[in-house]
Amino acid sequence: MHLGKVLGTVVATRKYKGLEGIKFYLLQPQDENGNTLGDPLVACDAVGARSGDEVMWVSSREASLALEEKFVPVDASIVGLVDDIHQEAVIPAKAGI
Amino acid sequence: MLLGKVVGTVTSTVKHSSIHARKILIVDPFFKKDKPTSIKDRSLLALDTVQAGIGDTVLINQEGGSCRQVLDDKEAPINHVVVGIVDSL
Repeated sequence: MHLGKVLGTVVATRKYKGLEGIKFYLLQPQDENGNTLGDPLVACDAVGARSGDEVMWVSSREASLALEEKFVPVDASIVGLVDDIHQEAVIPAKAGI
Repeated sequence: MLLGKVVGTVTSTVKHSSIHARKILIVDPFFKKDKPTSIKDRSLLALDTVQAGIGDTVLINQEGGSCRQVLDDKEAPINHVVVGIVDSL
């Protein structure tokens, strides 16, 4: 899984059979500090994310397993909404000591 | 498998049912490229199966089929699982 942020929605009327009713979001991959990593991509939604949400997403074959229809042509899916990220406390260096 | 260091954890309430009751660890992989440009080069989220914590050096399985085997869930949408804590390198 990876971290990312939802930038906006993607609307497509003509879709492959099996993709009807699935929401698509434009997703920007991020690291744990909020820095962007790479280019935005389009991901399916399996949990009810909204624009601006920080999310967890999976890529490759596992993306379609997150959806109700398991054999659909998708390669990225949102599988969780991030509430909080806990990191090791960074102790700032004491200058002059 | 990948080697990496656990740098954080993620809390999530709304998530896929396969991820429930599992700790989600943020792992910074060793031996990544000098200039990480892709999400695949860093900041992996891996499910914990060995009680690892922040600061541990861990082994990460990064293939979906074996993750489903480890989690004992044939339809888990997971592609990174922590499968070991490294004692020494």
